[in-house]
Amino acid sequence: MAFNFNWAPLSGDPGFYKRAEELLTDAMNKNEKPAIIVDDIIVNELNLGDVPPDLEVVEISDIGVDKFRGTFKMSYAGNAFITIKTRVQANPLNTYLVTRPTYASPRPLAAAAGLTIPLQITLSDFKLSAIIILVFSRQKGLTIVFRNDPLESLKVSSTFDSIPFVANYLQEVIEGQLRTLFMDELPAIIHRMSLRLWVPEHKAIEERALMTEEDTQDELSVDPLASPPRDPVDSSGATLTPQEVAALSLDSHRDYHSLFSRKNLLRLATLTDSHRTLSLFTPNIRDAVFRAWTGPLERGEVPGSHASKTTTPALSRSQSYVGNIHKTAYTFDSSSHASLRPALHSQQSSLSVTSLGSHRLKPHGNRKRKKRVVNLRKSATTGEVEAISEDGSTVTDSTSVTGSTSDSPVVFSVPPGASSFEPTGDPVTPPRSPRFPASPLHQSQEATPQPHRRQRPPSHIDLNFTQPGSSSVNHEASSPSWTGDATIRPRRAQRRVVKLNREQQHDQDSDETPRASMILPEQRPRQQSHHDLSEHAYQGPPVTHVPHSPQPYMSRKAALPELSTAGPSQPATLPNFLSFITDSSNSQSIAERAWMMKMAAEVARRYEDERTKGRFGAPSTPSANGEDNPPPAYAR
Amino acid sequence: MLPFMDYVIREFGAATDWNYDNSYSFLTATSDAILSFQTPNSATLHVSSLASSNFANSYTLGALGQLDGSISYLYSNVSLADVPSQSPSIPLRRLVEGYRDVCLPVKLEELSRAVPALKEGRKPTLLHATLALPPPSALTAFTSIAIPAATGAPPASVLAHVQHDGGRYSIEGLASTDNALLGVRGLWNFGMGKPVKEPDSMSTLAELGGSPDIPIPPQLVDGLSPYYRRLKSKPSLLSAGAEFYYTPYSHVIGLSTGLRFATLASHITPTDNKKRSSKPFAGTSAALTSALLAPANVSQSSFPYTMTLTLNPIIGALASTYSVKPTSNLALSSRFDFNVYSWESQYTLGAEIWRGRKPHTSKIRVLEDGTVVNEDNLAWIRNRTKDWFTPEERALKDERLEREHENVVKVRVDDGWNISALWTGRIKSLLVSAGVTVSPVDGGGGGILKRNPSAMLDEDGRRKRWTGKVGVSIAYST
Repeated sequence: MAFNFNWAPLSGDPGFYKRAEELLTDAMNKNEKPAIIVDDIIVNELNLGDVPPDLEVVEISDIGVDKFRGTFKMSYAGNAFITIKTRVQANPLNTYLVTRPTYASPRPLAAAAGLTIPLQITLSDFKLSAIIILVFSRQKGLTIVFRNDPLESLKVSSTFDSIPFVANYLQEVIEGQLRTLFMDELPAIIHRMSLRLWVPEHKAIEERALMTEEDTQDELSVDPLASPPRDPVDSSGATLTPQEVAALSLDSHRDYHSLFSRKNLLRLATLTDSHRTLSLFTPNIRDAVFRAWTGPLERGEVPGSHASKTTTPALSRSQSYVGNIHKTAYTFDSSSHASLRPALHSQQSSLSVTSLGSHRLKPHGNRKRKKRVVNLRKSATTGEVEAISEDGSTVTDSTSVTGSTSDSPVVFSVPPGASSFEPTGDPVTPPRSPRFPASPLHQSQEATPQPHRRQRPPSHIDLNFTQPGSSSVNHEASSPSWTGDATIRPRRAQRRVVKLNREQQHDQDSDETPRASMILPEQRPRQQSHHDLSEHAYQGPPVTHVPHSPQPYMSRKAALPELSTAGPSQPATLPNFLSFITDSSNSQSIAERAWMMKMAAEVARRYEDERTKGRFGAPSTPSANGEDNPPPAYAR
Repeated sequence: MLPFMDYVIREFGAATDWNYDNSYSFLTATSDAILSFQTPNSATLHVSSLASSNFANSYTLGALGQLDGSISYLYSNVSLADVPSQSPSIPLRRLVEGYRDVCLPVKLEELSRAVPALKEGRKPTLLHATLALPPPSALTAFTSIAIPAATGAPPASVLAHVQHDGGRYSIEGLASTDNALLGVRGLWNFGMGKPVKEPDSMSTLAELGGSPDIPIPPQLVDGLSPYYRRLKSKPSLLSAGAEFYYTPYSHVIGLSTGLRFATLASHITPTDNKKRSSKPFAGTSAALTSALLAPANVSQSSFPYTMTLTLNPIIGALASTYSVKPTSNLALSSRFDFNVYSWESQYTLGAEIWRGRKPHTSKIRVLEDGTVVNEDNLAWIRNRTKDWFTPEERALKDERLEREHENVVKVRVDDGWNISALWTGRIKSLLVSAGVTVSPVDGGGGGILKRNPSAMLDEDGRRKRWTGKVGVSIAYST
């Protein structure tokens, strides 16, 4: 292990000394000065010299990319010097009397007359020896603490050098002051300087987390470089210079999509927070349409809905971030991620979430996953309540019943499913999983001649693969419901046609109705127009459209050419939900990537096995058709 | 305006024939009173009482910005019953320090009789204690940990101050527990030596003076007549003094020497007052010349003046003052400070103006047509009551009226245009002292001001902005 301490560049920066002098001047005048000093102390000259201090690493207790904590033994005998100017009271009796109350003072006649003398003191020949504890973290800056009194000796040369009495006095006073400076003030100064240096970094912490959701490329080809943000940050949070921004291009996907305006991200984060709290404050985001929450139940299912929102990549990015951060276990991605990489499980921090979020940049996966959990509104066109959750099949029965018995909008979906899953003790088993049938793959399969063959939610496979115990529980939990579902299949089979169609509609619709109301302004109008088109085109005769259901998808594909890489005609390819794994932007390192590829292949194989075994075919019709209702519409 | 307790202490000194002027501490009292007066900077209320002839108490409360106050008690075994203590009746000239008329340091009466207090067999004693609210700085010192304990003042200290007035000389010793400060002050009056050519008279006086029971025959006092007369006719006094301080702990050394030349009050002032109306004033230089050149027994027609010169050899500070009292109601003073090391200098001018009641102007007017109109409607009463009082009583009454209406204004200005003004007088039965201090703020001056952005507003640094403080102090005493 090697450390590279750069001493010379510190003094090479021309602005450094000026700043340091200002800070030192402030620090010296902040405290109450001794009465002998009758003027401000001004740091006149400061030079760190060219002899670096000798550092001996005693202990390094914590080291990381963005944090460091270590103990050093420092000894310094360099040629740094500092010159300060002030004015002092040369009459000690005057100083004596100034600090005394007047009641019992020996009021001298003229012996206390003052004489202020401009004083210039040069401190040089520092001999320091100290044990330094250095703590660095990106959030908190640099902290240096001296464990002992570092000052061994120094040379004080002043205008009073010829008078030994005064010179000794000055030496004594200055040493005392300097000791307090070293012990109290210098750490504060260094900390302030480091904060000044890393303050953008400090702010970028939040944005780095927010950037997990950032991705625009699969929605629309909006060139973020057309109007580059004023304060761009890259994926690691470091600020980008305009040159770096210019060097980015649309071709290099992984770079530019992480280029976000800090201001906008903060605004979005504020919006998110305002949704999650009782705050009435809504940040002003231009060209954005806000939609209120649909209802208290939905709000109650916040974790699930958050997770579901991750499926609408562009719109609910920060929402999904929040969901990821706080409810990581409920999102499929993070759970699978964590289970796939058990070693990293403990590190499910914002960083890993970041990579997870970027998985969804993959065009295909997101399209279909936009189906959301809650979609229980009364259909405007049919007047039929399609309160069907794609979530748990246990829910399915009840939802189907309600759907058949009442016309009123039923708000009913994930929460029961989530609550039913949660007691299994597997936090990784999510209410989230049922949503995956909504992926394009499943849709395309539904368009195939075996419409009744329901795929098992892929997350179950995943869970099965990674965590057998919990997945088996899920299996047990879900399989009875499938059978139960099968009993009512006749009715549902017919209905499913409608639902399928609606699902298409909603699939398109859901793009523009994100729960999180996190909206990328420019994309919305275009998207809406597309969806409106497709919706109007296919909404009229719902029942007859079963065979055509792929077509809207295709038409939308045409509208969004980026998505054409994954088509409904590729059922045998890697499942969409796993496609993120192959995305090069996910992985942090090559090794990790390779490992993830391997695991993805494994998962895909299992998935195929399960699919061919027909285990998916069973009944989760409702889960696939979960969102028939168009969401409460601002879209039209 | 002196605080009530200080006033009582002064009166105690006057009752025991203590000569304050014969002390090095009071060498520059005149110029300090005119040039270094303190203006109040807040609203302060003093309530004092001389409750009995031996006991006084005083309460002070100051409030403007910060609250402070004090409680003082005083006990004296010398009866202070005849000291005017009610605020309407205290002579303002005793309460306000102004030009000090230096008295002859040797009491001529002491040559013939002993001090009465000593005759009574007990020593005059005065005990005075003040309990003050801690100043804000001390309060912050309590709450703040940033102040190192070494440099701060100790929480308590005792100062012992011993003075001995030997007539020709005066010596004082100081000892403070704060850093074990020791101090010595001494003053020597020139020209006060007893005649050495008359040993007989001296020995006679010494013998007779040693036994106070036997009254000194007048003829024996007459035997001292040359010395006595010389002292009595001494027009001026030259005094030299020095002070020295040393603290063995912190090795603080303080040293100063001083010189004072003053006209003596007993000779100059009465004649001056008498002759003021008839004689025009002489210039200061002429007065100085006449004072120096005129024979000692010639009573001076000039006005009193005081010159001092102090020197601090350690830090090279020189200060010379010249104070003059042209009339009984006006005193002027000037001071020049100079430091031989740093060449810093300061020139200060000040004035003390006493204003009394406007003299009772006759309201009898003669109109153009020659008729005499007496506009004073109460004139007939005055005529009728003119004889009710004896002239002594009338003089007392006039004096009291005049005293109640008199007030004093002090003004000071120095070459840096720091201007201070203080008015002290009576409003109803309250003693009121109101002061204002105005000083310019120049942009390039002190460091603190330099950092103040509002002080940087002047473009070229030549234009001055002014800052100041105003305060009022109200005292009531019974």
